[in-house]
Amino acid sequence: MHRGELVLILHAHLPYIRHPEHAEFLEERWLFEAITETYLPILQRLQRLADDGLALHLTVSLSPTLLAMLADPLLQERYVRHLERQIELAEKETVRTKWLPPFDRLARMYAGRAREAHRVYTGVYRRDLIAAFRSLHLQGGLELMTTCATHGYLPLLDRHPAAVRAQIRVGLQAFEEFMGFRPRGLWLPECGYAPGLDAILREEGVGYVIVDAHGVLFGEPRPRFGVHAPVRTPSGVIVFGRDLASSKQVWSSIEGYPGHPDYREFHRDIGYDLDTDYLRPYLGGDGSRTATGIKYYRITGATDQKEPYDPDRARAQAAAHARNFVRERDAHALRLKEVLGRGPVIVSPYDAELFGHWWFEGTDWLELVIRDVQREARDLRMTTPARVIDGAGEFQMQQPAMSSWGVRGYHDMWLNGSNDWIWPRLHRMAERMVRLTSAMPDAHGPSLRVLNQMARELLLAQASDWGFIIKTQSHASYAYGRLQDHMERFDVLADALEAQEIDESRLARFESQDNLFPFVDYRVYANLPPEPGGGFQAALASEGRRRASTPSARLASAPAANAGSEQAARPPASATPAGPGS
Amino acid sequence: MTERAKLEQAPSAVDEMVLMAKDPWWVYAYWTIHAETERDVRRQLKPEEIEGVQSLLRVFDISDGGGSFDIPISSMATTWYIHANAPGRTFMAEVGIKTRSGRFIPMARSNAVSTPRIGPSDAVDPRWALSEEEYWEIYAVSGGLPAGTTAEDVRRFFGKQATSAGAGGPWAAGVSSAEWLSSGAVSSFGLFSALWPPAQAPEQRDQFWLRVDTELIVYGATDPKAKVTIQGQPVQVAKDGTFSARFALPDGTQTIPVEAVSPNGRHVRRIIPIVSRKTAHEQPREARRHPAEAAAGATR
Repeated sequence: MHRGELVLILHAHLPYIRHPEHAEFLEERWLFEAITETYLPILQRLQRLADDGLALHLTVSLSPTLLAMLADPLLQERYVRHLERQIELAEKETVRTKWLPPFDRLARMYAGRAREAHRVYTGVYRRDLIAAFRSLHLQGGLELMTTCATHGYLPLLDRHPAAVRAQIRVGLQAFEEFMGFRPRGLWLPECGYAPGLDAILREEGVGYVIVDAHGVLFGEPRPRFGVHAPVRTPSGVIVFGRDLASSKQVWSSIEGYPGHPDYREFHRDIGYDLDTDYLRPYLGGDGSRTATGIKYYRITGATDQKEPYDPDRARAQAAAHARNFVRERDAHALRLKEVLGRGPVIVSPYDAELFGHWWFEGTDWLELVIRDVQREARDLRMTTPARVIDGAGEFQMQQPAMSSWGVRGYHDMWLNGSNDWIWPRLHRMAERMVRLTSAMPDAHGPSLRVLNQMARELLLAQASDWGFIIKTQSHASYAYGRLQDHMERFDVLADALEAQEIDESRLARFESQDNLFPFVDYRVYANLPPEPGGGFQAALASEGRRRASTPSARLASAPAANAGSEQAARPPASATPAGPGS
Repeated sequence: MTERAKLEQAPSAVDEMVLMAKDPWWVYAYWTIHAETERDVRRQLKPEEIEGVQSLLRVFDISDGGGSFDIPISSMATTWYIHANAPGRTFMAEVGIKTRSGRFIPMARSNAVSTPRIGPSDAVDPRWALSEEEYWEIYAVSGGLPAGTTAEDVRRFFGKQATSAGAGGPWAAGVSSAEWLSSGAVSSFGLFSALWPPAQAPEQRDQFWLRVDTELIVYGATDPKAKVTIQGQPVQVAKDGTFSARFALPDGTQTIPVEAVSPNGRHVRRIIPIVSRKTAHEQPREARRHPAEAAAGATR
């Protein structure tokens, strides 16, 4: 491994939002916007790269809830209607801005984009974006992975290992249902990791995960190659640590690319500027102003006086930033090779929706980066986690430290004054789910349906998105509403089950409103690993105890005695009070 | 009770206490104690102990060499953020009451939880050995740190001396280290606007402001089956024969030929509105005193 390896990962995720009870629903637009601005452009560009004979050694994680929405016929139909309205609005805009250059050109640009999205979605992909991703995987080398069922934040769910297991297992099952194969890797929601999670991950067949840099840097024992080589946990899961330099160049609100003055200003949308009578058919149901996706201004600077957007200048800037990114990664790889004595593995994960949606020019940048790495970079080549694993020799064994990529690096975003109240509710729901599952291991008929629907409601309530949205206060009332719905439905179902008085018409209503993952089997909450065998149970139990002990002091005093990496990472467990949920 | 308050209440079937790690320095605790348990516990008090009873959290550091500390709490509290201030240690807690004489009667005991460690592990695997200096150098060059950061800077930042083994204990670094740890990643789409906030909303601007644009609606009616163009561009004609088009109107003159061609193509009608707009510019000025104010002032 003389060269550095760049592992670009795009994590595509949206919470499950589907409201058949309404003719249209504002928050469903998040999906439509992401399809138009991120997923379709990325698919097209990847196809273009493949057509040009370039290798697609990129990794894309598609969350189970996103997959479910992409496959849902109701949402597909609503998306097409949304596109038709977009085209209509954009065409009206081309008329309205006729006497107002340069806006007339921008309006024509948006009309063209909307028409193109319609053509590609209905004509080329025939509404099946999942097949499009699968095809790029099969033909072009695109690596696909997924995340937990509803993006539950595992470190705070692990009071009940069954809840953690269900998030993982149902997530992998969902991916297999939609894609037809099992992924090798699992994207940990928010890169949230707690020591010991690796045992459950391994039991569920997960080959690799990604954690934030300090998860590996502060892991035990110290990583020989810092964050620039993957490590292997005691259970055998490979862990990749995030590279901070490449993250900062894109994400940083101070220094990151997307803040450049020539790029499109996300917040100046005609939905907020123009007359409401004109906009009414394109706004939300209650007529309140909302973004339309048609934005005419560039960032310009820290000022309210935004200048009109210039697509040519922006595109040139994206190209410059792409060249800059590749050059920086190349130089960094060289520096790291000198210090580490071997080629580094540079893992650069990003939210997929950053590209094209938040950062309009991001898809240009992405395509150019992929081209530039293959054309220009000397000390670097693009690869995927699976290829790194398959091509590598031995991995250092390590138990990474508890960490996440959330702001401040730990659990603050999901456990703070605004949203801490969610956890006691979720814990008690999980406890009740486990208890009822164990009380009825062979349910059938209506009871089976109730237990399966309870599992769905629990999974939906566990989505980390709700707590996050409440914390950031955008659309908080929607998140509260979702939590209320799922918590209440769960309780109603559990009460009915315990009293053995099941109202089948109400059950059917819940099943149709919360129809996520039809294949869910409540027995995933039976607290047993998929394969029978004392070895796994013992490993799980010992990991549970390990989580409660602090072996570092013990290790520090006797390094010479611990010959071999196995022992160095697995010290004797100390006696502690009852571990979480075991 | 509001819907939200009902949602946030979560009674449990049994007495329980749960600890959750929040970050290296904070542990979140929640508990439920039922009325019967409280009554039972209070019945255990001797008569002279009843006055001055204090609700209490007793937090145990159950790692090697750890102790315990007490947190007086309100008897109504059911949650608490415990400032454990000790990364990489394991804690357990009890909630109960303490008498004036110091007797503590626990009502529930929690699970054990470990705070995340911060800073490098003390453990070094001999097969993958690296010295202190090497570790800090690799950390410094791994990137994402302020430019020009040296290995020595990083080591000093984490408060470690070359020879100290360090078994934990309070970190002086505290909150600021988090800036070095997380690159402020947007972990979900919603946080984007927090990182790149919109330009100040009008209500927040310091300077008074005004923005004015004008639009022109050109509309008319003709035979429902006629073909209509405005400035050569076709316009849709509704079933009742009306049509309308909306234009942003800038400064300048617009000549707007509106032409209708009859259904049989043999007749043409044309009307050409000519519209001009210009903008007179004024210096921003302060308002004159309102006449009513001036009158009121004069009568005092």
